[in-house]
Amino acid sequence: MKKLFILLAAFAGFVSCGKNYFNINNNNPNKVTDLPPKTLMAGILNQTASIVTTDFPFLGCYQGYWTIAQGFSDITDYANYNYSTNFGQNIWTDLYGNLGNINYIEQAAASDSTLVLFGAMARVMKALHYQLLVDVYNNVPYRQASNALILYPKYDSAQSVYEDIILQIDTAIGMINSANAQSVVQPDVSSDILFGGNMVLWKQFGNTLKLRMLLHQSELSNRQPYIQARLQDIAAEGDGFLPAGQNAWVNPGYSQNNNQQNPFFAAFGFTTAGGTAANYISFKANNYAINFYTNTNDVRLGYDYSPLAGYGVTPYQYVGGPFGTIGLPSPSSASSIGAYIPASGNVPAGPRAGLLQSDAQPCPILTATESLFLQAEAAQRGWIGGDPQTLYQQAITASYEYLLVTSADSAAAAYYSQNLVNVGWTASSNKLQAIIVQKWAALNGLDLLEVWSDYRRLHYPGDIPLSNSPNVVSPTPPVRLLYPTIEFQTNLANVQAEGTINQFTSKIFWMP
Amino acid sequence: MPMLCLLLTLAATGQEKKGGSLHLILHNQPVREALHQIEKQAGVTFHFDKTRIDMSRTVSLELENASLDEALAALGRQTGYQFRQRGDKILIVGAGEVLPPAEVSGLLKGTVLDSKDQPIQGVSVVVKGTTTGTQTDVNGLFSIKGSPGDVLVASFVGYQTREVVVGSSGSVRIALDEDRRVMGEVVVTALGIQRQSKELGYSTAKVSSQVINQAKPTNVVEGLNGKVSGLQINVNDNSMDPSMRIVLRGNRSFLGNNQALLIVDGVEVDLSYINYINPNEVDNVTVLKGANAAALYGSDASNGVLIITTKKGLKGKPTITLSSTYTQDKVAYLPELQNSYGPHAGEYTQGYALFTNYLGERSYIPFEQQAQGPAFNGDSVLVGFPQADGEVLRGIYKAYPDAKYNFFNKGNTWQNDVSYSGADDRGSYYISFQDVKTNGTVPNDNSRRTGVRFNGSRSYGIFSSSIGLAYSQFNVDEDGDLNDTYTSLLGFPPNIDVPAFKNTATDVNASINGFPIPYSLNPYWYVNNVRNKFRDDNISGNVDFNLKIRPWLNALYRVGYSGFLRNGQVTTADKTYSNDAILFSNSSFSSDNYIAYPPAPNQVTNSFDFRSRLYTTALLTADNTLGVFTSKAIAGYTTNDSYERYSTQYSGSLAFPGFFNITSGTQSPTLNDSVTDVRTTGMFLDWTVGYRGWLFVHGSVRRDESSLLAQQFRVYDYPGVDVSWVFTDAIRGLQDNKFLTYGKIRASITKVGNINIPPYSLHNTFSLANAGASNPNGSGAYNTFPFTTSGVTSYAINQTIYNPLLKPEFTVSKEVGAELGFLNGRINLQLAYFDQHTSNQTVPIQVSPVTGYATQYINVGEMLNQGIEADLNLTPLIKLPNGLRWNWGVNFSYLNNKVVSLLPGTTELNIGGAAGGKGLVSNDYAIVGKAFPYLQVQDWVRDPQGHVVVDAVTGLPSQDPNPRPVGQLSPKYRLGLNSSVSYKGFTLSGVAEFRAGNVVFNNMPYLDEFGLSPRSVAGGNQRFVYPNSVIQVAPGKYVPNTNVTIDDYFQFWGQNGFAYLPPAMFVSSGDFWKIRELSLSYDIPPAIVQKAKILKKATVTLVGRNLFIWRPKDNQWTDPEFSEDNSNAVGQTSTYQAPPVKSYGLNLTLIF
Repeated sequence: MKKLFILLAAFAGFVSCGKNYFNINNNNPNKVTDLPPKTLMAGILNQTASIVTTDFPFLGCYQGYWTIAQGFSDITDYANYNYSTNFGQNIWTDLYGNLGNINYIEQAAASDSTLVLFGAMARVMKALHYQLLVDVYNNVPYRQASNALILYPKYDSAQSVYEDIILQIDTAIGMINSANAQSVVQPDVSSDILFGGNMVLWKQFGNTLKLRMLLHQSELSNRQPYIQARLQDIAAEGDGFLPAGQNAWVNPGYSQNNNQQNPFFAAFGFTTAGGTAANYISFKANNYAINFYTNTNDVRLGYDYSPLAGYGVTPYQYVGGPFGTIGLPSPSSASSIGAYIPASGNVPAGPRAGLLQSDAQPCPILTATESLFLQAEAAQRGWIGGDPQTLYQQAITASYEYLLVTSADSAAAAYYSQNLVNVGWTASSNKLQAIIVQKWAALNGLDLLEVWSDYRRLHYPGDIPLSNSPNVVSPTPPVRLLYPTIEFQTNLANVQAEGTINQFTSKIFWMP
Repeated sequence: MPMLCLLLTLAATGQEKKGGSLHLILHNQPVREALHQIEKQAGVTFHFDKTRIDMSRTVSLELENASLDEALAALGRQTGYQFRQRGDKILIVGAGEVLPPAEVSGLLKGTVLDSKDQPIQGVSVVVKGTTTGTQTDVNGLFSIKGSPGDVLVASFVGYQTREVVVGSSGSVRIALDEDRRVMGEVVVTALGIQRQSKELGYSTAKVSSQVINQAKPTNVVEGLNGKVSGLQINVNDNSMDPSMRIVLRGNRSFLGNNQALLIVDGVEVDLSYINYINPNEVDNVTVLKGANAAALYGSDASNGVLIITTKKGLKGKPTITLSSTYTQDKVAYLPELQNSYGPHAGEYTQGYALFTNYLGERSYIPFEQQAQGPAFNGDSVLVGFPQADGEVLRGIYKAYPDAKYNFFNKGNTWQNDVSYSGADDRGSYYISFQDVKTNGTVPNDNSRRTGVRFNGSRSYGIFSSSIGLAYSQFNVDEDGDLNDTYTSLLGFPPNIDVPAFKNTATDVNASINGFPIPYSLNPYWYVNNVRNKFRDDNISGNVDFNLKIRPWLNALYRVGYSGFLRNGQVTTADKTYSNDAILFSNSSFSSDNYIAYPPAPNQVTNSFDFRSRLYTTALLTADNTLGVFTSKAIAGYTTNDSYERYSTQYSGSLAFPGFFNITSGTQSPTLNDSVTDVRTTGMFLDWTVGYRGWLFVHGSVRRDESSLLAQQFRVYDYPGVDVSWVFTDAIRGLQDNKFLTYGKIRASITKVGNINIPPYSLHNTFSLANAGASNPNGSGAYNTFPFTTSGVTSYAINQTIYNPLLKPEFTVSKEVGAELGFLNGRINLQLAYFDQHTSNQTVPIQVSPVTGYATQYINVGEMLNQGIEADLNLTPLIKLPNGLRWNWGVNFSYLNNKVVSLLPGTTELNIGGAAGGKGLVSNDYAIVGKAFPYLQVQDWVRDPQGHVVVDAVTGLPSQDPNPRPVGQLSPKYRLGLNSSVSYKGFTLSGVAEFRAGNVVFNNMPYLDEFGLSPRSVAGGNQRFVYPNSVIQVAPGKYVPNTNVTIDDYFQFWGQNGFAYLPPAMFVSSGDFWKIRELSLSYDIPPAIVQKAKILKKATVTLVGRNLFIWRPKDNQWTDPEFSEDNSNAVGQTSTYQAPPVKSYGLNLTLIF
């Protein structure tokens, strides 16, 4: 019997394994689990530019730039204004997804003082993201968001979110000003693909975002004292806004290689092989915009759209279709968006100007033209110093420059010197209307959400046609999106606490 | 009666005393009792032919201190029997029979046959009372040293042991009856432990090689289908490398693995390895149906186990077996298609009056794909656009009903086998070789599988060892884009004679530049230009070392290794258009090939997948007997290391047409590389106690340790216990009952742990950042870091919250059952009822995106599986004196499975779906209170009675945006029928299977949307009233719609486009009846065969597989058994699966 036990013991010793035997799944050999927080920044900025330029194509239709071509693509729900909670869900998931990354940097900076500049950049980007969320959904989760431990985050009132993110920008500017250049990690072109580590530009960007949020509230009389107080903060801070010639855009190294394209170009233009993106076929010129540019002798017509029969076939015909008419336009009966046409036979691709320039063009988050129009409006309202006319004309010039219009400055001057209402400054009796209409003309395809916000706030341009769809469910266009389906699946109690949302009547808090 | 002999023999051995004084006091008691007492007292054993010696004759003896001779003489006087002693064995011969000569040695010869007169191979034949023994060869032949008058004992698993006295000729013919009482059958249970069937407290099934290979399948799995209750096999497609789903007793885990564990010769291997096993090498497959049987295999076995045992060499002369099978495959059926109407598509009626005649009727459009146009009339019409040279294809405006069938080839399979085996007392060997060459039904598809196996064993004293080695190579060349091929084929209007467009290279009308339908590429373009080629190398080996330390104590150490390497390449030819085609692209009425399939360079994807498993087991087994108790105690330890390395390289920018080397790309290739390594160990104790051979109690406990979990959770224990009671032996009144010959009831309860998470799921990870990954176009991310031109890289948080607090899932499985044999086993019934409760499931739940994440792994949710299994065997149902014999087997499974709970507050969990005509759909759900998985899809708006609600003006129904639960996706009932009739060398066998109670989602909506299905043109392409529809007249008030027609049938079927018909329109019943196998074999009579001296046996077999299927009318699509892959999201068919095929062929088997 004793022998047997010895045998058993030997047996067990022979076959059993050491503790390290099991410690093979702790370190993941396939995915990195630990990295310097600053490594996230370039991705955040690239994704932000993608969200701003590609997540709102339906607004291109609502705001009179584009329409949906018929053919294989059906009449979508949004042409009937009859969209469901499924519609635009990616806006929600993209913004909150990116906020998770922003929060990671913010948290890392909170515990590591050398990351203070990255913490500041993260706060500015956070402010931008929540501004976009509020402008689309009004009340949204804010204080309990971006936390893996809070699976059912509560919603915060839109106004309190707006107020807090303005404070976040102030905090960020304070962090930048207090950072000791010797002891902190400096952002550079590899992490700060927006401003290449130029922290003054970050402060100006923050101030511009603040101004934009204040302008969104312009039509609320009870907010005027608050607005004035915040304007004084900006003036006291002193760095001002993004100036002429300074676009807030990113270019981490876009190229015509696979998976390296500018997001807007990839979404609305062409594949790396020169084939058309799905949106290039399905979105066509809207006759409202075509008529506007044509009637105002605006050469940007040929930069925002391509001629029907292509280049080289004169006279160039720019044709738009109405939005919502069943059967129109067919893909070949209306102008495409952007001037760019891919290479065909011996004809090289191009022109490399306009809305779609190339796979490698920078992707905007907030263009100089938008910043200047914001300043023009603020100056016109007397909120800030400066001459509104100068800012207005600089803004138009910046738009021409963005589109790489030939001899942009003189072409812009020729344009805004015309004696046309809403084009020439002096010819326009309603200066505010002229500013917003020109802002609309300049931001074609660049910042559709901001254009929609202006329309919801001021109803300019006032003659943007409604959807022609016979099945349209409302005589007025929607003013917001519904909370997305995924919130009803994963955060039901909190989203239901917001009550029944109606896309025509449930306003964003800043809407008059 | 032979059982008694056996028992007597057993009782007698071990007695050391011989001879001595005998005390026998018997009054009118059976001879049996006298012999019993003599055996006990004298230490001898009696041997006799029970057909001649009547043991129930009564005798009376009163002997004190008598010698053995005196006692035998006294018995002889009363009975007339004669006795002849040799050693301690005494032969009894009837009165007047010739006693064998005392000691004449020679060679005895004989054959062993079964009750069907079929030879049985491997029967052990022993000269009674000696150690001389041999085994029968494949013809049932044996020869053995012995003399006339010797008693030969022939025994074989599954047959009743038979003793035969050798006549003076020295030649015998022994017929063995199958043992219907199951009692003595040895079953291989977990870890290769052999147990008697009567001991088992749980349900198992054993399928023999003969049954598997009845219809000469190329894959073991096909040979098991329909033959075992509780085992559900789905052959998911019929590609060159079909995926199979093998599930025992239903699904337990929502998202984890539910497929059976595969053990080959004692070694755990990947389930996919079953596709590489030569079915002819398989000796038998044992199915351990539930966790109860499988608990000793540890966590992987909660889903049940398939144990494959390969053949070993058998004693006797070496045997060579040659087998050759040729089968032909033919497409059985396509989805139902209409042949009455030609091309027209509705969008033109609004935009283009050109294709509407003066009456406003839709006219023929020569280049249109949708078939919603005028009826065929036999006119000569244009087809497609004019080519660049002005030539226009003309055709007759008629249907080609066979065109789509004729696209497919007749496939064929050549299967050639050689095996060589033999054995002596100390060792055995078995060598086999197989080559399977297949040409598929999809043009250009072919594959070849070549494999060898060597099994050997050797024993030396108390030490013995065995080894198994197998290698196979599998080469496949198949269509790399079957979905597009099949979609474009099915999508053509009926007036296109598809095979006429075969020559894509030489015929401009078939080429990418000039194909008449501009909305889809020629299917022949895909089969010629998109190829998926791969080669699999499979090696596996196992070595067993066995040490018999004591007669009752045995130690075993087993090492098994399997290695798998797949290296594959998918190549897509470039799309290069002629200048003419490019010019013409602007004149077409919509986007044509040039726009829809833009020019692109050739592409290549290389993939390398290496998997290996190292598996070891150490077992210590102690067998003891203590009085009326028997004991079998086992202690063991296993380790398992699974490793995988998977790499892919993709380039979509190759520089030179026709040249597919990854390094020739003009842009950086896309790379993927991942390594996983998982280790588990298990320590266990297993103890069976038997009482008087009719009551057995068995218990086991196992402790697992796994590298998958965090240190504090990685060790977990689980116990199991079962009881088996053979009441026909235990209850005196039931012994020797002529009607109920065998009866056993059993019960068991077991808990098994299981870890269903991928490795490295404990820490959050980062992925390369990208932009626009969730864009609604579904085109994937617009860009991904790093940017090669600038060198900028960036990462983003991976959207899964990993959870270091995860614990194992546990299944508690209860089972009761009965095994009943009637009329000496002519009727055999096995019944089982089981109840499995799986809790603490590991589920990646979807979390609010607000958290910054998409999913989180948590332990939550319960699933219940209850079922009944019944196996009824009638062997034979009919047996006629002229040799006709008809056997029937029926197996039935009923499964009631239910999701008990999910995350608190949620009632459903999406588990995915499949790709197809409606894009990637995620229709499969776990829904609380419903079976798993459950189909939930969008449907029309319906009134409370289920009628479709239509618009009062347009007559159109509308889609209800909220998906509706439609039905369960796994069958609730399955019935398998096996039958064989044999008569004079002919055997006709068949297997049929019925499944019911489930639905299937057929993701091929364009058949309706394009007007290609019969139902979509049933209205004659005219306005129609939606059948059984209602109109809402007031909220909640509906009236039947009798006259509001759909004002634009086109809008209904197609133009409002491809998203209008709700998925519920494509759901059908999943019920079917299938004749899975039919075979007719003929054994060429021995007289003819043996003329060819060296040939022992020759058999010719006609085989057919999947010859017939019957489906309910609502299934107009495809084989409901198909599915996208072998994930849990079953019940999704689409054009990713080629149409079903039927096979028939011929086999010739020669044995030398």
